[in-house]
Amino acid sequence: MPNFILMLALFLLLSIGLRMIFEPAFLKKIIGLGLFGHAINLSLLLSGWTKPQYPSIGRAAFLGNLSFENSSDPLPQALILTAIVIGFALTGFLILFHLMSERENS
Amino acid sequence: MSLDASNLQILCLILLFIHALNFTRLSSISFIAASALAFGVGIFFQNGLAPSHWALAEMSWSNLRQFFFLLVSGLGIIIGIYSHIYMGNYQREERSRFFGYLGLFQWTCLLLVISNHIYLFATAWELTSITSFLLIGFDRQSPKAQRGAIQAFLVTGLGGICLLGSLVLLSQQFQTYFVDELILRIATQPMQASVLATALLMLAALTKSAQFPFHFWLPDAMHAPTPVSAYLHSATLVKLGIFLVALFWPGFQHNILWHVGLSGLGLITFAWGAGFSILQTDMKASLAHTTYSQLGLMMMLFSLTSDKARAAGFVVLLAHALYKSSLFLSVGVISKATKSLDLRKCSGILRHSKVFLLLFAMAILSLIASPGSLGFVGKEWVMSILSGPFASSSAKYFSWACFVTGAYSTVLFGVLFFLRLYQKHTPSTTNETPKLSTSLALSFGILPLLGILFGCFLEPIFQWLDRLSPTAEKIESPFAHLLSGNFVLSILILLAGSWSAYKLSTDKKYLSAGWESKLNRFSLSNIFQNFSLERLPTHLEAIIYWFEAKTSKMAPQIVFLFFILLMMPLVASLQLPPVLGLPISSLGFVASVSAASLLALIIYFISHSMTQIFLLGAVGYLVAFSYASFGAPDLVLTQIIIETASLVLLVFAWLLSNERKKHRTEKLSKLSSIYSWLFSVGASIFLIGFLFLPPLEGVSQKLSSLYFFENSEALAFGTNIVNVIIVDFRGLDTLGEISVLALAALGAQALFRRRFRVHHIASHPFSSDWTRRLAKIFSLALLLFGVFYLSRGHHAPGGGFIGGGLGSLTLAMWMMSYGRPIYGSIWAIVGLVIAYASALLPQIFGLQFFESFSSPIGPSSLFFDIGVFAVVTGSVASLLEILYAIWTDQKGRRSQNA
Repeated sequence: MPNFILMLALFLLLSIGLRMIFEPAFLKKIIGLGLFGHAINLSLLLSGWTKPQYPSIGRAAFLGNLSFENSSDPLPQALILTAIVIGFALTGFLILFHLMSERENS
Repeated sequence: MSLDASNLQILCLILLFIHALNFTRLSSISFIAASALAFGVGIFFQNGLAPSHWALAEMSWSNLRQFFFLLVSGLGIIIGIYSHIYMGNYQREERSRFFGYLGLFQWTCLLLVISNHIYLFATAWELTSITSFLLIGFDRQSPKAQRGAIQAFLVTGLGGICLLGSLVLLSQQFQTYFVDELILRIATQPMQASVLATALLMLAALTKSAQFPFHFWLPDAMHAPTPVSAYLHSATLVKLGIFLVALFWPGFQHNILWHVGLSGLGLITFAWGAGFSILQTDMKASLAHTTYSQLGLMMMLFSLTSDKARAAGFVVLLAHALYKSSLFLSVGVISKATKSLDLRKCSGILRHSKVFLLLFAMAILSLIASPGSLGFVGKEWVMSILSGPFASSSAKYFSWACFVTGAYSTVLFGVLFFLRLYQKHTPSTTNETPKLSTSLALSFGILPLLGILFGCFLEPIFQWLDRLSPTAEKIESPFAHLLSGNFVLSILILLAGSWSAYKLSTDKKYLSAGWESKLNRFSLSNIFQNFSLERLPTHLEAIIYWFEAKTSKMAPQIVFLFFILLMMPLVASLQLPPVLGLPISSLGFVASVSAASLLALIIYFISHSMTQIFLLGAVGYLVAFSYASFGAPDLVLTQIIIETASLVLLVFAWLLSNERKKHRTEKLSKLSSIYSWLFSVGASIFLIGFLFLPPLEGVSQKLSSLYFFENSEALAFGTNIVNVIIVDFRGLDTLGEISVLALAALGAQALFRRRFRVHHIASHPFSSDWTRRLAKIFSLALLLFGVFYLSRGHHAPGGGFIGGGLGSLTLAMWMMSYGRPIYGSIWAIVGLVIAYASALLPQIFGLQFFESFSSPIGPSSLFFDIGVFAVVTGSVASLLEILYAIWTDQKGRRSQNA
C-alpha cells in the first residue's frame, strides 16, 4: 500500500509539473519546471538500493552498526546534490533571458 | 635531466601566469618574456637529452614536439619585439588587449604541441581556434574582419570537432587515452584504424592547414593586424595541421586513404594557391594564397611513406616559417609607411630604404627557392622524391604537373611581387616620400638572414634533421647532383618564372585589371559565408516555421502517436517485478512525498502567482524532509538552502515580469489543454514505469556503490561517502560541472552587466537602518555556517555545494541591505582557479592528475572543495545579483521620471 501511494504521489508531481510547463504564462512554466525537477530527483533517489536505516556516513563511532546492507545508497545522493544546484542555475538563467526578451520586445 | 609530464604542466602554468600579465600595462614585455622563457626551456631540454634518445631507429616523437615548441616560442620573441614597435601608436587598452590575445594564442598553441592526453589535445586544438578567432576579429569596427573571423572559426572549429570524434573513435579501438601510445599502437598493430576515424583526422588537419577545398578561410583571415598574420597565418596556427599529420605519421604512413588523400589534396592546393596568388592586388591576401600553397607541399611530403620525404618536409617547413613571416612583417612595414595594402599603390616603395630592400630580397629569394637559400634545398629534395617510384603512372603525371605548375607560379609570384614594389609605375600623387621604419625592419632581420645562412651552410640543418627524422644515411646534400636532370629543371623553372614575371610587370593590361572582383564570383569563401551566415539560419528558421505550421494542424495525431510510443515500454514490462527499492518501512518518506504532490495539485488549480511561488517553496521543503527520512542528510541541507535561494529568485522574477501587470492571464485553448494533459500523463507513466522495470542483466549498480562504500576511507580519507563521491571519486565530473556553472554565471554577467548596474537606492525597502544591522549579524552567522559546513563536509553532512549555497545567501543579503554590487563573478573565477589548481596539485608531489592524498591540513580534496565552495557562492550570487540589478535599475528609472 505505501508503495502504491508513493507511486501515485510521484505520478501527480511529474504530470502536474509537465502540464504546467505547457502553460503560456512564463512564471507557471518555471514553477512547473521546479515541480518536475523535484519529482525527477525523488525518482533518482528511489533508483538506489535497499531500505535505508542510516545515512551513508561511515564513521564507526558515529553509528556502530552501520553496514552496507542497512545504509542508504550514496551514489544517487551525489547525483541529486549536484542536480539541485544545477537546476537552480538553469532556472535563474531562464528567468534572466525571459526578462531580457520582455524588455527587448517592449 | 629530462622533461617529464609534471614539469611541463608547471611550465604551462607559469607561462599562463606570465601571459596573463599581457592584459595589464606590461603587455609586450611579459609577452616577450614568456616567449623567451618557453624558447629557453625548449633549447635547454633539447640539448639536454641523451643522443641515444633521439637517434633511435624508431620514432623519437618528443623531438617533433620540441621542434614545434621552439618554432612557436622562438618566432613569438621576434613577433613580440616587432609588435611592440608596430603597436606603438595604439592606445594602451588596445595594446593590452592585443598582447593579451596573442599571449593566450601562444599559450594554447604550446599546450597543444606538448599535450598527450586525447581530451587535452582536442581541447587545446579547439582553444587555438577560439584564440585565433579573437585575433582575426581584433578590429571590432571592421565588418570584414568580423566575417573573416567567424568564417575561420567555423571552418577550423568544425575541424576540431572532427578531431575530437576521431580521437575518441581511435582511443576506443586501440584502448588508450594517450596520443603517443595511441600512435605506437596503431603503428604496431596489424589492424588498421577505422576509415571514419582516419577521414575525420584528415579533415581536422585539412581544415586547420587551409587545404583545398577548405583553403578559402585563410585569405579572408588577413584582416587581422599584420603581426598576427605573420605569426598565426604563416608559421604557427596553420602549421598545426602539418603538426598533426607529422605526429600521426608512424600510425598512418601505410594507410592508403591517408596517403593518397592528403598528398593528392596537398598537391592540388600547392598548384591552386600559387596560381591564384598572382591575381591578387591585396598584398596580404596574395601572401595568404602562397601560404596555403606551400602548406599543401608540406602536407604532401608529410603524408608520404618515405623518411626522405619527411626530412624534406621539415626543411620546407622551416624555410617557409622563416621567409613567410618575414614577408608578412615586411608588408607590415610597407603598409605602416603608405597606409595601404594595395600592391598598386605601393610601387617603388622598396627604393626608399636599402636595409629593407636587402631583407626583402633575401626573403623573396627563399620564397622562389633560388640556389643558396634554404627554400632551394627543400625544393631539390622534393624533386628527388618525385623522381622516385610511383604507384601508378597517372599518379606520377598528376604529381609532376601539379608540382611544376605550383613551382613555376611561386617563382612568378615572388619575382613579380618584388618587381612591382621596386619599379615605379605610377608617378606618386603625393610629394612626401613614405618613411620605412628601419627599427621595424631590423627587428625581424634575423629571419630572412637565417633563411639564407642555412641555405649556404647545410651542416646544422643536417644535424637537426638527424634528430627529427633519424635516417642519416639517406640524407644527402642537394648539391651532390649538380647538373642532374632535376637541377636543370629547377633552373629552367626559375628562369621561366622570372622571365614571365618581368613580362607581366610591364604589361599595363594585367596591372590595371581588377582581378579580385572577377574572381569573387568563383570564390568558395563567398559561397561558404553565404551559406553558413545567411542561408543556413534562414533555412533553419523556415524549417522550424514549417514544422510549427504543420504540427499545429496535426497536433492530435502526433500526440496520440507519442502517447502510444510512450506506453509501449510499459506494456512490455507488464509482468511487474517486486517494486524496486521502495522503502516500505519509511512512512515519513511516503507521507512527505504525498503531501508535496497534494500541494502541487493546489498550485495547479489556484491562479495567484505569489501564492504559487510560496507553495512551490513549501513543496521544496517537504521534499527536503523526505530526503531526511531516506537517510540523506547532505541532500536535506542542499535542498533547503537552494530552495531558499530560488524563492528569492522567483519573487524577483515575479516582481520584474510584465506578466504581473496583465489583468487577464492567457490560457491554453480547451483542445490544447487536453493534449498537454495527455502528453504529461503519458510521459509521467513512462518515467514511473522505469522505476518498476527489472534491472538489466549483468548491470549491477550495487557494485559501484559498494566500491565507493568500501574504499572511501582508505582511498579518499573521508567518511561522508556522498561528499567523497562528489569531490574525489567523481571529482573530474564535478570539476566539469562547476566549470559549466561558473561559465553560465559569467556569461549571464557579461550579457547583462552592461545594461544594468546595481543602483544605490536611498529609500528602498530593504535598506532601512535596522534591516542593515540585522542583515549584518545574520549574514555573518550565515557565512560562518557556510565555512563550518564546508570544513566538515568530508566526514559529516556538508561540503562545498552546501557551504557555497550558504555563502551565496550571505552575499545576496549584503547586496540587498547595502544596495551595493557584490562581484559574484570574481568569486566564481577565483573558485575555478582554486579547483583546477588543486586538481594539478598532486603532480607536484609526483602523483597522478587529481590523485588524492592526505596532508596535515586535511585530505587533498578539501582544497578542491574550497574551489567548489567559491564557485557555487559566486555563481548563485551573481545570478541573484543580476536580477537585483534589473530591479534597482527599474526603480531608479521610475524615481527619475517622478
